Amino acid sequence: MHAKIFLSEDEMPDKWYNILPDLPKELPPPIDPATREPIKPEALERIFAKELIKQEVSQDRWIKIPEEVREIYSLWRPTPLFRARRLEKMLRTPARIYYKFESISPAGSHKPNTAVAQAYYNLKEGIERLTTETGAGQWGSALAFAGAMLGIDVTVYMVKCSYEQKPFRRVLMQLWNADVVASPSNRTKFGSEVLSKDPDNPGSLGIAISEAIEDAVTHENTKYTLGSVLNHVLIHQTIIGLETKKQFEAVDDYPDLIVGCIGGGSSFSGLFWPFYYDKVSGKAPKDVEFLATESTAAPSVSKGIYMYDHGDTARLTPLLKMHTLGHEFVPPPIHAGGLRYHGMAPTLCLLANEGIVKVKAYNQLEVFDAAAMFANSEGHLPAPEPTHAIKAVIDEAIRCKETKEEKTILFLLCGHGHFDMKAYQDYIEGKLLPYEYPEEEVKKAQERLKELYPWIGEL
Amino acid sequence: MSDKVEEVLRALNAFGVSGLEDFERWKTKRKIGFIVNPIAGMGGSVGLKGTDGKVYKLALKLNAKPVAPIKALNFLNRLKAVKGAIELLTYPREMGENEAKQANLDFKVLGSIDEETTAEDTKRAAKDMLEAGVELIVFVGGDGTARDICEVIGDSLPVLGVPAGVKMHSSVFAVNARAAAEVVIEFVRRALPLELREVMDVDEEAFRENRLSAKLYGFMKVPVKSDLVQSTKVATTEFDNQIEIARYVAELMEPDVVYVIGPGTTTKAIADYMGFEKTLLGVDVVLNGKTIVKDANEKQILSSIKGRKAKVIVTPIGGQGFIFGRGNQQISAEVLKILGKENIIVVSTRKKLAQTGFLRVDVNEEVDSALKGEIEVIVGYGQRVLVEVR
Repeated sequence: MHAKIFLSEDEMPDKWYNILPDLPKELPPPIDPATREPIKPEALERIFAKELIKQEVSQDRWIKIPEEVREIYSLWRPTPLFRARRLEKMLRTPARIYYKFESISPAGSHKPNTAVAQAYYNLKEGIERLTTETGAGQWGSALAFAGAMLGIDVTVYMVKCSYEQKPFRRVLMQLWNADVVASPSNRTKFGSEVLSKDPDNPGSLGIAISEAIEDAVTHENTKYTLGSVLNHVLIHQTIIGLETKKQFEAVDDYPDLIVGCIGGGSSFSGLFWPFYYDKVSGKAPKDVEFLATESTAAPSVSKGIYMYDHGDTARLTPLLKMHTLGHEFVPPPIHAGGLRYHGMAPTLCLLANEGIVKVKAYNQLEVFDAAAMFANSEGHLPAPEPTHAIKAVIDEAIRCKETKEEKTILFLLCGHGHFDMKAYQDYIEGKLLPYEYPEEEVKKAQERLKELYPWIGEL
Repeated sequence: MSDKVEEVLRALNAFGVSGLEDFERWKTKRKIGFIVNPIAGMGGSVGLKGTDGKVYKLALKLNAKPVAPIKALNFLNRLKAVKGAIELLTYPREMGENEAKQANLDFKVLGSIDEETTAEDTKRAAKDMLEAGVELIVFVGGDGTARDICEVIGDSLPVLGVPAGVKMHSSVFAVNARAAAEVVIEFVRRALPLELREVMDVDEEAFRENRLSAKLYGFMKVPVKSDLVQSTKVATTEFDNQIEIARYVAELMEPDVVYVIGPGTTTKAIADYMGFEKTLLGVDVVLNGKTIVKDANEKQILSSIKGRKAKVIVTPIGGQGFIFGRGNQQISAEVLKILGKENIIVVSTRKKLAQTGFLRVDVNEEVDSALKGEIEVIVGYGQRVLVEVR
């Protein structure tokens, strides 16, 4: 009756898995609305390491994890797979609940899995400094950690209001020698421009991204990094699912249902891709279902429509086939900031559209109820994002109690909530609102899109 | 440099990463339409239910003071925080130009107007601004102004109201000028959620029959920052505990005290229970169980309470929580200063109170801050609760 299933460091996978060769359909290409021609990834060469761009479009199923990266991974990897026996008991469910525990990384989440890899490839190509943006600091601290481990300089543009109101992740980044800049800043031309127009601007993720990119393109030996959405990021996260598969082998079990939360889609993809590979290659001992969870405040995949979406209000940017609520949709503020990201991995959109990945949305009140239940049975405090997955798991386990199904359920606890105490405080004080998004508005936005691009249906 | 960053952002966008929108947002000055209805709100302090059409002349005769210019300037002064980021597109003189000049913001004047402004000017201004490519129209006025703009704009462009009218049943208004400025600043800084909100106005026919019935005229798209934009005003039709409240208030009413009673169905229920006359939409003055002034204006209220012990009985507006400054402007700052907080009796059905959970006032800064804090509200027979006034 073990609570944790460990792997030894030698059992840590030495290859990442890439889903591109195994997709049921080819990914629809990003389209330039001016020429209607597909956009090429070379456009990204200015800001990313060559190896990462190669991975972005690679059709290789397996990609070797460099020894140097595995060595740093070994500081916390392999991560344990927990059997949530106390939660099962609390729910009196016959279901077996497992969770893969990424909270124990030094930065407290799954993000270092790709931060370390990205820092490594850049270093190998002679890059001396990396830039990035961060909101509350989850991704920024992961990259700062990677920079400290590999000896590469890191500049993080942190959204100013978080920089001021949530100083602890900032301090953590600074401790790892990152140069943390409150954005908008006078470091960049763009930031100065914003400040000249609006001196008290509290910053936004988009402004921070623009500053980090400008910093990278205007300095020698400097590249930019991103923490989600892109395919190479998702590939690096597959170490999560690959380890989990080995851990299930060790206890002779296999999941019937795999649950995760999606913001940009990287943590959940990292968990389920290797099991998806089992499924399509006929290696899965049983049929496995994939369930992605998102917030009702930004239900882009569960409520959005899979179509070509223009990228901005100026309507000139390339088109990408993705789930969209329309660009007039702006999610209300919620504590699970990572799920508000206006952007989603194209592979996940495709798999959701094919019905291979199911998607459910939950409001922030019900997910914090689930988080409290989890903290009071398993003890661990989840970050606000994975509480959505926990909610889905609890619902399913209760259903199993009624149907007496001995289902095996796996979910990803992708990070701890120790820096999110304000969210928990609001929850305890009854200040959280259960935001829902009106479907009518989505439909209207779609119709407007169709008016703008009558040829959308032809593609 | 800027081109290179934009190129990269475009390419990233093609791979599912956003960021371009924020970049574009700061590249050029943002055009915001600004329309002032200079006569909005004038009827309120002299007991008129609006300042539409002929009523304006009557309001002038009764020595009504313009309200809109003050609210307009108050709004623009607070927009200075983002002065460098915006350009106002406005209409001549008292329709916005004057205040834009006074606030020292960048502006451009469109169109032309005659000596006396009418609803047609508001409509033409909205149309000109739409054609000039503004991103948002801000108007200073009331339900009538909202209706005029809605007729031209519909839901094709975001619109926000700065409340300055007598009737404000529409849910397109910010809570006050300060909140309107905060919404616009947020709109400039980042995209705000847009909601389709009702444009309502009092149904003229029902109004003449003394029935409160706000008619729906259309919808406009309103930028919403939670709790700064008021939701639809709900006419209280339920009689649930109005009778209990009336019974209790009747017991509390003392002889030789002047009672200034505000509009609404809950206060009307008190009159019905006690058997004195009361208008549904007006403010009435009652002494010793008799109505001494029906549908009183500010001047009449002031002279009735002068040198006597007086109290005011009001009920909040459904869905908004306003106890003063909306629909009862006759109970002016001066009236409230004479009465003092201790002579205010607030009554509300539990259902109506639950819609907001708090109360609001929008009279002037002095009165608003004096009333802030907690106030007792009668919600049933012998039942009082403490409610926060914001």
